Amino acid sequence: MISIQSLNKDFGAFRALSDINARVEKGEVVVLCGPSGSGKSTLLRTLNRLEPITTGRIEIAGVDVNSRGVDINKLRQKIGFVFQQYNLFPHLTALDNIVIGLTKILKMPRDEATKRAMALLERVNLTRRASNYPAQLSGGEQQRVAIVRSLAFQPEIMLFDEPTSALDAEMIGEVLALMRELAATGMTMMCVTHEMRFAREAADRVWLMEKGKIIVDTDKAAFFNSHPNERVQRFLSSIN
Amino acid sequence: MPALDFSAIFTEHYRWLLITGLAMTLLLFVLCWVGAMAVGILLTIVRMVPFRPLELLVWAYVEYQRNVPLLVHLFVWYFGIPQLLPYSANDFINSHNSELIFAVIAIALYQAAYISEDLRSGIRTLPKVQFEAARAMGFTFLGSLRWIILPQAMRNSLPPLVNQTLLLFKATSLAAVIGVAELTYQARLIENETYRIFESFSVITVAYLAGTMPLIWLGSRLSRNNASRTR
Ligand SMILES: Nc1ncnc2c1ncn2[C@@H]1O[C@H](COP(=O)(O)OP(=O)(O)O)[C@@H](O)[C@H]1O
Ligand SMILES: [Mg+2]
Repeated sequence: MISIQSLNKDFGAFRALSDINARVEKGEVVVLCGPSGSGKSTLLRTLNRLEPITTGRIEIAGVDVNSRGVDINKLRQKIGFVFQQYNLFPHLTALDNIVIGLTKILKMPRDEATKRAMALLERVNLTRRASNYPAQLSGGEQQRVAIVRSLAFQPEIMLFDEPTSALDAEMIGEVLALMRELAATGMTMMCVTHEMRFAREAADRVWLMEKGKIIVDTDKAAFFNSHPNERVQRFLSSIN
Repeated sequence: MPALDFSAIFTEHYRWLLITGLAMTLLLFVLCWVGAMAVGILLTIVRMVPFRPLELLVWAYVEYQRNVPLLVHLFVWYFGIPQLLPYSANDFINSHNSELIFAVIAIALYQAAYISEDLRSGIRTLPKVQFEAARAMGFTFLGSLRWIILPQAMRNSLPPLVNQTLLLFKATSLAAVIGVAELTYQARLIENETYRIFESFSVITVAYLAGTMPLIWLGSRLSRNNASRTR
């Protein structure tokens, strides 16, 4: 589903991603972890071309993301992206945050879009919040709306960049629960997160990044086994 | 001491001049406002395109407009530009109320520079993620601006935009100097014929205040709302 080949990404003279080679199969859930500044966000952002690459190749469902001919806006509809915060548009209600993409990007009739949006809000138990503005929602509610807003496009891939890092502790659970549920439906997911509980429960593979490189790419069992790789051990102890 | 005598300027003829003057002021105001808004938004959009030469071009435009007095802009457009145009264009303009056309162009272009500055600072306060979230959903560059960024920037900039509207309304009076028969122009005409200087100008002062007071009220209400809004 995702194939990354010899990817390099420079910011000026600084190499943020260095010779990345990796694959994500359809339905796989990959947890991406590593110290701050190691290039996790940059890697995620290159996947939907929010960040242009320097050299290398990224294929999503067989399509070269950075080729000139690709309709990037169409491709992005198939890739949901959830940021750490400020995902929702504050001038629109929870419902309209979902509806606007459907009506303006997909040109769906408004009543059909509203129906789909309400069904998604119901899925996360937020129907009663439909007409509230983002600022009236808790951080956890905002992130759940942001996730189902992406789902409205029926994406093939969901990317998460630390979706729970800005949340108060008591709200992290509800967002992770939704992500777990999504993983169980067979969604292809890449999640930057330090929630190792989530990785243990929902991940298929774990990538560990350091200084722009993927230094560990292994299945979950190997990552969390009792004799972990020394670098994994160092990382795990650093976050606990 | 001569007493005030408003009856001298309220003859049927002068009443008619005042009414057409008021109508012309309102027409000028509406045309300039729409023009300034359109150009201001356009400048704001062009400015967001990540292409350095365009950025510099808009910067130069804004600085030129802001650093040259509006009166000079009016003279340049009314006296200067026609010299550069072919005769046919001049014929067309002259037969279509050239004073009004050039006044609208000069005032609208001038105010547009200020409006684009206000919108730009409205955009600067938005988190960068807002634009990225829109693009990541599949909105085009223009779609992101149209549906996500500009509505928020407009709302953030409402108090300064109302203020610009107020300034623009007052600026329409400068069009009198190139012969647009708006309120100030008519007042001068009446004052010239009747020597009722104070009366003439008090009448249009009241007319201007009737236009500006609601704008001032609206502006202060919006700032208060913005300050107290928690979202
Ligand atoms: N737009 C940018 N310009 C310059 N440097 C950047 C930019 N974005 C990220 N970086 C640098 O790239 C490195 C990786 O950043 P990032 O991908 O955000 O790391 P992570 O998400 O793992 O914390 C950091 O050193 C960061 O300073
Ligand atoms: Mg990051």
